[in-house]
Amino acid sequence: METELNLVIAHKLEAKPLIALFDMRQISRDPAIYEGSKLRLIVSGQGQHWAQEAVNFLAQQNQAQTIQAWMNIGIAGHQTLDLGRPLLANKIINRSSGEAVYPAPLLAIKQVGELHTVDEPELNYPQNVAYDMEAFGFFQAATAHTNLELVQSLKIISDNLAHSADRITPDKVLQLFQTNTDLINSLVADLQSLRARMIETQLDTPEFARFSEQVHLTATQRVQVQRLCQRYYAFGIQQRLSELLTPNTLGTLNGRELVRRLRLPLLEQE
Amino acid sequence: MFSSVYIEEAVRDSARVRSILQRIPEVPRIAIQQYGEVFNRAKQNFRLQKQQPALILAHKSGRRVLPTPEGYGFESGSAGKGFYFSHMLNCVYDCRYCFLQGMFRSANYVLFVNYEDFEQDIEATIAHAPAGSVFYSGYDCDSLALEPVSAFCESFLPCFQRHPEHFLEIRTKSTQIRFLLEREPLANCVIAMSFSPQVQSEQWEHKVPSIAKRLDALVRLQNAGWPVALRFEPVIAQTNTLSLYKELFELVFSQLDRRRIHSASLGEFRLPVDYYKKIVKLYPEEPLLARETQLDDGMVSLAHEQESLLQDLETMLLAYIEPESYYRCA
Repeated sequence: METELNLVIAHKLEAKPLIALFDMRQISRDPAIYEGSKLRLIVSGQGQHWAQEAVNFLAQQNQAQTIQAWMNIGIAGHQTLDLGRPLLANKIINRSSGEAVYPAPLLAIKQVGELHTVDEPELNYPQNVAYDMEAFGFFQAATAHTNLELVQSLKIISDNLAHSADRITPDKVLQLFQTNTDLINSLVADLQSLRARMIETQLDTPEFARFSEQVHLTATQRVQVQRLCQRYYAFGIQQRLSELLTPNTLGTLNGRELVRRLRLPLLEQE
Repeated sequence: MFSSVYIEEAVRDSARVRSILQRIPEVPRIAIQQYGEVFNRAKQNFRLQKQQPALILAHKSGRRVLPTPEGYGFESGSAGKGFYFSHMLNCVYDCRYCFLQGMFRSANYVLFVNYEDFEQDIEATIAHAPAGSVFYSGYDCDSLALEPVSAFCESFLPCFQRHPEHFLEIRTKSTQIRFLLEREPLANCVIAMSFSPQVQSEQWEHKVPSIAKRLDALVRLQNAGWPVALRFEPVIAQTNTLSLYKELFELVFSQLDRRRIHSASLGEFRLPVDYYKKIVKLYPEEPLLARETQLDDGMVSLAHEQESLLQDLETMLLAYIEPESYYRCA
């Protein structure tokens, strides 16, 4: 089954409620990877480096190089926000380097904010922002593999000045995720919809795939034939492509002739 | 209105930014160092962003007033020169033929808020420009469409009030004219409204006010004493193009006082080839972009008899306006 969205989760504890939520089954032990309907989840381990490794590992599995969306979900600390409050990162700063990245604000959620990725757990919450240990590395790695509109990081506040991180328990983590189940579900669906829209706009036509399989095309001719097929669709005359797709016709065509034959009917269109 | 507002560090404390933020209190705010780190990033999808654009408040440095290409506007044939300035990048409308889709990587709106620097540069340009020069404000944006947020007119009109020998053209498809109606008109500030035939507007000009609303805005401006202009651009050949324009011209000139129309222009659909290729990738299913094209000196245009069509339209248009009020946009 084609994976539409990859979830990158630092800890098994955080992954557990998501595995249940999306009815996933384990397909790999090391690294721990789970698969559900059009989703994959990888347990990366703590820290930016391991988040990057996890992203790159899953990206390498995508041999067909289909467009995929990516979401990092996990717990985070915050100076003032209440426990259990979600926060979709709209700015992620790598505290050790000062670099900033900006996830595109395209998902329907009001709880957005700044997230600082730190190398060691932040227990003092010096700024009124969220703190995690993976998001920056995750974002950098994932945007190397897809459009940046399809990469998001969602955090659930697990500790703050009033409730220190050492009071986080496995049950507490489970509870934090459970209270945000609907939100996680809807954000995952929204991100899948964005991905679907991006794929739709590429207009990959089945006829182009068949022409490429059956006629030897140079690199330039591939680009030309792909666009010519798209133009048939744009004009709503794609059924005319089938006239060229008969075995008898295809057998007689070389790349140049195919381009010429495809172009002729388009000259009349406006 | 905006999915978020990004605010450059350099302008964060400016009075204009504070005023803009007061008008959009609900929009999430994100601090940035420099607008390019959001606007110019690689791997952005203009089409997806266009669904929910963000606003970027930034400082414009470098050259702020630039010469227009030869033959761009109504200064052609006069002693005056043409200049443009872009206090804003990108447009709230979503016209399928628009070159901005191919020019920028991001669909977010950049508003350069250091208007005073623009005005200084305009003043400096005016100091060396021949009388009758024209300054175009709607080159990389629609100048009026964001008026309630940007207060562009409020800020820039006084500059041209001081220089009645030069013109400001505010190119728009917007009906945000309240500020203009509330103040005294300026004879050298031309509100230039773009029109395409109804069927084309419905097909390609997404989110744009209807022709009726735009025309109503223009009538009200004209009645208030503002010079108004008509921009019939881009002309796109289609079945019955002439009858579509005949209908449009009849409608427009039946409502406006044609003797008081500042100017009217026609211009064909032309794009730099690189922009065109990018737009095709964004909208491969768009019939307009699937049509046969021709390439001339790095510019793409539609292949079908544009020149003879433009000549016929010129003849039609000149039945309504004086030849000296007409120009063809190069």
